[in-house]
Parts: sequence; structure tokens; C-alpha cells
Amino acid sequence: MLSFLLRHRAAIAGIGFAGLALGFLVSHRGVDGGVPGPLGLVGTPVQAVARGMADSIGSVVDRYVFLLEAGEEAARLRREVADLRRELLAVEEVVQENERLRKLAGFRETTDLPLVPARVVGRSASAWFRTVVLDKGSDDGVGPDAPVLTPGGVVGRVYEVSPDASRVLLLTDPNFAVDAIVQRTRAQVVIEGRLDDRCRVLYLARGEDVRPGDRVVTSGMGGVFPKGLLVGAVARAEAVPGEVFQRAELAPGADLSRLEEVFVVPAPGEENPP
Amino acid sequence: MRPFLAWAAALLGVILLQSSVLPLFVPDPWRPDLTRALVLWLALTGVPRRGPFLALGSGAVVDWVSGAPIGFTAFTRLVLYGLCRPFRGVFFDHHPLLLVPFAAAGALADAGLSAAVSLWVLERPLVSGAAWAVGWRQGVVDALWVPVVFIALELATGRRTPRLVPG
Repeated sequence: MLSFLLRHRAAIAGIGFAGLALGFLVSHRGVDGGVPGPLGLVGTPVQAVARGMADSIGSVVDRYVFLLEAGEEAARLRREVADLRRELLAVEEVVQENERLRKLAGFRETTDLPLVPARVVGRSASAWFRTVVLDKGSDDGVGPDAPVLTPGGVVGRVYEVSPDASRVLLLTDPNFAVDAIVQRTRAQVVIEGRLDDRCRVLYLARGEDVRPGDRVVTSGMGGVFPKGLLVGAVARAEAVPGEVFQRAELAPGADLSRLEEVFVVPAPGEENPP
Repeated sequence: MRPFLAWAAALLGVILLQSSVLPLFVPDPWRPDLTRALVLWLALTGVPRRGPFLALGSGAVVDWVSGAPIGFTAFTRLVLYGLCRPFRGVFFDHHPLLLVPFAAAGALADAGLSAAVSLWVLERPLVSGAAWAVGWRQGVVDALWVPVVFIALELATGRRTPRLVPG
């Protein structure tokens, strides 16, 4: 038997392959609704195994290709998200600047004072002096001792001027002092800087009824600051036994740690510089 | 030449940093005076040479940029250099952790010197309470910041810890 099979191995192999092919073909026709022929049943188990293997390989390939595409898509989306975040940051910056400028424009309309808008471009490098540099100078009508304001209140005064820049002594500098009055009680005081975020209130008489929260405005005396500009609010006031004056502190109305745009009051006659 | 150029570049860099960048993030009393660290470096290491002139010059630059009377910070930096100079080679190189309290002490010394000098120079002298209030905050920040500056300057100037010679 074996020798017979070996002698005719080519023919047997050919018949076997032909049968397999026929079986695949017929079983496929059976699945489509045609009458499955008996030959189709011969190839079905093999076909099922082959189909299963093909399906498995196919799904692995599909997953691999999908993952590749998914990876590329993820990288593209990450780049897009990063770009969008940058744009959002820029937009937020514009929105905030818009809000600040809107407040400045609104403040400008509430006062009769001529105002020159300026940007803060630098700050003091020393721990013992509180100054800022503005981008406007004498060419823009800014002069020495010009008051500097924001909608929040007095910021300081100009003490150095060049044609296109000026330096401002801030309210919190120890060299700064302004004559002021407590708006509610009309008590006359002097506000002096002391290097931190509060100012000293000097010469507040012992008998004055001043409370935290009382607004303090410029008195107009001294000839530098016009009358009625907000300086800040009383933060603390206490009478110390044995002292003639009360010890008081003022919280500036302007946020001096976040100065970006300010207004300078030009000298009379310099409101409209050439 | 390298140590001088590195130190000068560091001076310009810290001046720019503390006048333009740091104010955006750090409120005033806590904002460190980075030039003080550069003067401490000069005093404790002697690199580059001519430390007194460089200390004086760094203070003058700070005065010019800040709008302070020229010479105010220059003088206090020179005195600070003089106070720290005796400690060169005493402990810094071999006990570097001691730099932390030394940096804090430097800030407090600067506060005291500035308050003292202001009595003669400024129309309204610094109130001592205000000066110390700023000084201790600067001391805390300097204690953290000065070691970083020293490491950066060691790398930039190429200065290395001198070896102990036995005998």
C-alpha cells in the first residue's frame, strides 16, 4: 500500500489540492444561499481553520495599522492642542489688557484733569528705593513733580525726566510724602512710604475719630497733587499711651505691585505737547 | 579674562532680571537684590581680582538703574565687601553649607548699612523698623538664592576649590 502511494504521490497530491479548491468554492456558494454541494462539506473544517487563522492574522494587522494611525493622529492632536493653548493664552492676555485699558479709559472720562497715558517699562533694582520707569518723557508733556495715578489711586510723582522716559517715585518709597485728608472726618495728615505694601499716616491727632476703611485723599496743599485724588484707605489706627499722635497705617488704593499702565498729570501748559 | 567677563555678564544679567522680570512674580519686600550675591562671591573667593572696585562698580550700576543717589548702594556694597573679605578661605570652600547663614547675615548687614547711610544721605532716612522688616525677608530669600548663584559663578568663572596643602 505504501509503495503504491509513494509511486503515485504526484497524482494523489494533485487530486487532493483540486478537491480542496473545489470544496472551498462550493462551500462559499453554499454560504451565499446556493445549495451547498456535498463536496463543500469536505473542505469546511479546513476552511474554518484557515479562515480562523486568516481572521486572526488580519485582525492583528488591522490593529497594528490602526495603532500606527492612532499614534500619528494623537501626535497631530497634541500639536494642535499645544497651538490652541498658546493662542488661548494670547487671547486671554489681550482680554485682560482690554479690560485694563477699558478701566483706564473710563477713569479718564470721570476726571477733568488732563492725563497722559504711560506704560511702566522698568522697576528699581534696589531693595531700598521704590521707583518705576515710564515710557513717556518731556516730549510728551511729562515734567518733574508730575503726579502719577491709576484708576485705583495715587501712584507717586515724577522725579527724573528725559525726553522719552521718566522715573517715578512710588507712594511706598520712604522719600515720598504727600499731604492728605481723611475724607470722612477731614483730619489733616501726611502720608509717607515705608518700603512695604503699606504707608505711614503721620500727624493724626489723638482725638481724631479715624477708623479702618476711611478713605484718604490728597488735600491739594503743597502744589504737587491736585485736591481730591484717592491715596488709599486707613488700614489701622491706634492711640498709644504717652504719644501725641495716633499710630496709623494706610493701604494704598493703587495696586503698586502690578503697575502696567498709568496716567501722568502734565504740568499746566504742557497738556498738548508738540 | 574669563572670570572677569563671566562676573560682568552675571552682573548685567541680574540687573536685568531684578528690574524687569522678577517684579512680575515677586512682590517688593521679598524680591532679592541679586547683585549682593555677586559681591559676596567677590569677597569670599577673590575671583575675579580687584574685588573692591568691582563691588563699588556694581553698587554704582544699581544706583544708576534704580534712580538712587549715585554712591548710596556703591558705598554699602564696598562696606559689605570689607565685612565679608576676612572670611575668605576660612570656611566657605570646605564647609559650603555655612554659606546659607552667611548669605542671610549679608542681607541683614546690608539692611543695617543702608539704614545707617540713609541718615546722612537721604532727606528722609530709612526708618530702622522698615529697613529690618525688608532685611529679614531679603535674608530668607538670599539664604535660598545665594548658593545657586555661587554654583553658577563657579561654573562660569572656572574657579575650583583650592586643595589643602599638608604641612
